[in-house]
Amino acid sequence: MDLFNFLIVGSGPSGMAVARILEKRGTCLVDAGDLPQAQFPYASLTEAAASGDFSALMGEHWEALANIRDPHAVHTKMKSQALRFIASGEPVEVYGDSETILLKVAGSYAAGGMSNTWGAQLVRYTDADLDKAGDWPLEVSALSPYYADLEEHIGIAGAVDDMYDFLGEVHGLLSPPPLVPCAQYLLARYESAKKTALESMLLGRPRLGLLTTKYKGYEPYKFCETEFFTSGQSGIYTAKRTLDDLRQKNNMVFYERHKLLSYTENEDHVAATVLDCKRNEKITIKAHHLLLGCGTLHTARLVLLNRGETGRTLPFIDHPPTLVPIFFPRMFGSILPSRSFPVQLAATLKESPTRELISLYYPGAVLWSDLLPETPLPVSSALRLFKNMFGGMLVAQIWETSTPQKANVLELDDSGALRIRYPDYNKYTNLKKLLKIFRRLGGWSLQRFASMPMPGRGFHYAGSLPMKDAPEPYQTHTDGRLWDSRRVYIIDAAALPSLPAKNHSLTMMANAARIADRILQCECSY
Amino acid sequence: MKIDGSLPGAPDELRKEAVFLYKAAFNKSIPDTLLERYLRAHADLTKQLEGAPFELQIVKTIIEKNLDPVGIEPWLRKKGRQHHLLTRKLLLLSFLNECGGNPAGISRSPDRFALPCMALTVCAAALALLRGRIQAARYGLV
Repeated sequence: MDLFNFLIVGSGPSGMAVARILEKRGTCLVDAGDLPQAQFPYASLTEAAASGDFSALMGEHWEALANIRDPHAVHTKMKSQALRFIASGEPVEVYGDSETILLKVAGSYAAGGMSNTWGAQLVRYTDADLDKAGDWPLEVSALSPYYADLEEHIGIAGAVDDMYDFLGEVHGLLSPPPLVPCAQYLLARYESAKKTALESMLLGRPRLGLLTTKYKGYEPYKFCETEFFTSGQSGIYTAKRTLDDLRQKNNMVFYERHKLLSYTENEDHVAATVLDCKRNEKITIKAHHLLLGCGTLHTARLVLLNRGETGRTLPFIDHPPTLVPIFFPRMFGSILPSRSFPVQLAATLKESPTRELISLYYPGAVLWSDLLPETPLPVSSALRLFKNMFGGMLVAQIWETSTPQKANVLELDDSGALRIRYPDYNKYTNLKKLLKIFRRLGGWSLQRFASMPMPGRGFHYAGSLPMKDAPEPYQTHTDGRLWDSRRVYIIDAAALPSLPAKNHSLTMMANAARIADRILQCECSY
Repeated sequence: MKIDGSLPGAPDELRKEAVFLYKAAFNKSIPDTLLERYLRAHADLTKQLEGAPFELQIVKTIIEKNLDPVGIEPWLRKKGRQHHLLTRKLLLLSFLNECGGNPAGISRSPDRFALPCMALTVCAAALALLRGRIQAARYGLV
């Protein structure tokens, strides 16, 4: 049996950030993914809608109707037939402050993990973000070289504008995606207002892992508005792209459709028991170092299962955003282009201690029927209204800092299944102020229109095995090792001690790369 | 599983319901294909489209008394709860319409009369809601 230097578990963003550094070094990658993925047969949503191809939009098994009874059964972005494979992992039950199940979620067994469905926003944390979130044993300077390397690898679209410093310094930005008329209007109003008296908001282009031009041989994004119907589109970065590249280079051993069941740490190696899902056989893989990057949920579950810790609670951080529609009456009836990208603009409140990131989306890539239950009007009127309203509407998605709360925990139940208890989360407190600023820019909304997804729907999971300078049980060292381990590392968001008010994807990857680099530097000293 | 295909054994009540609700929601007759899909959805998604007895009674009353389902439906919505049976049936029709090549149509050309059109739509919606509220109260539906 081979003894590898490194065994990486998981092909999500963290696993791939590590694999890039550890390729050609006796590395083995184990991943549950590579399930067959259904394809969406149309180049754009408009084309699909006009085609009359019922099953392409509805799904072979009525997938579009997944939420027809329970509005929270499946995340709207994961309903479609071709995206169901992403949340194919172990089911997790989410509870609020009672014994009633709020939600059933699942981690991902897909090759590329949850990045298959992310919104492509890849932003840096700044020192101010980490100060606000607290508990970080690192400074941003420790992540900076890895940010830069990943940004260069991925190709980041954005602009040097008022949001540049807030979103973090990036060299060689690709041009941002085109704006829909409503976003153009808002940006123009902002530019004009800031010359006079607008001192409370910064607005600019978002930072996206989106290729607006050909980049390093990769095809650009085709602006097809099918993000809710398929994944793996050219031009949108997902970890699957790096996985495919690495597989082609053949510099490491891959075990696809293999699941890590348990591991044993020995003096000079870790022995991992892995299930070959195709043959339903267990095999043992040995390596000097085991790097767990299965996603916060699976990683925490594996660590708890491996120690038989039924009933032990670990901290759990979700990052549910507040969503609020902003209406721009001047733009009602304007043209919505049939090809664009949903994330249009990014904003933050100036000098706000909460440092929230506000992403502004246009509602062009979803089925209108999905929006009906959120519209407090008769169905027929709502559909008539949408026709002119969507040209003058943006949806603000507001991310806030999320820190560990004593009551928000995950645990293994007696059957080995993971349960999340998440009773404690707050409503966005700056909404009134934010809506007042938008009014000055021609946008109108009401606080009562704001909604927040249930706990567990944020998808930015983190903090179960947090990094500490002096880790206690079920925490990790800053070099990624579990508190009592010499050879088992946590490389995914489970190690992030708190979540600043930004998408954590790029930081999760940068931290994983930092850990891999540090293992290489220190390998001899262990 | 094949979604399309005729369903000869479907009860007449369901056909009548589809015709009635579609006419109320879209102000036109239900196309045959859509009607077949409506029946097929009820056959395939029994759990999602089954209603509690009181919900079934509400839908039955609305059809029997020729009330306005579209005006009544918003009054049956409860935040954080499962959708009411009437909401589910109207949503089903909307999804079937949208996925079947009859999307309501994003505005792809500028509409100078957007605001007046929207104002009229909101007024019509308010009237429908008022009518729905009165009918719901009169027949004890909410």
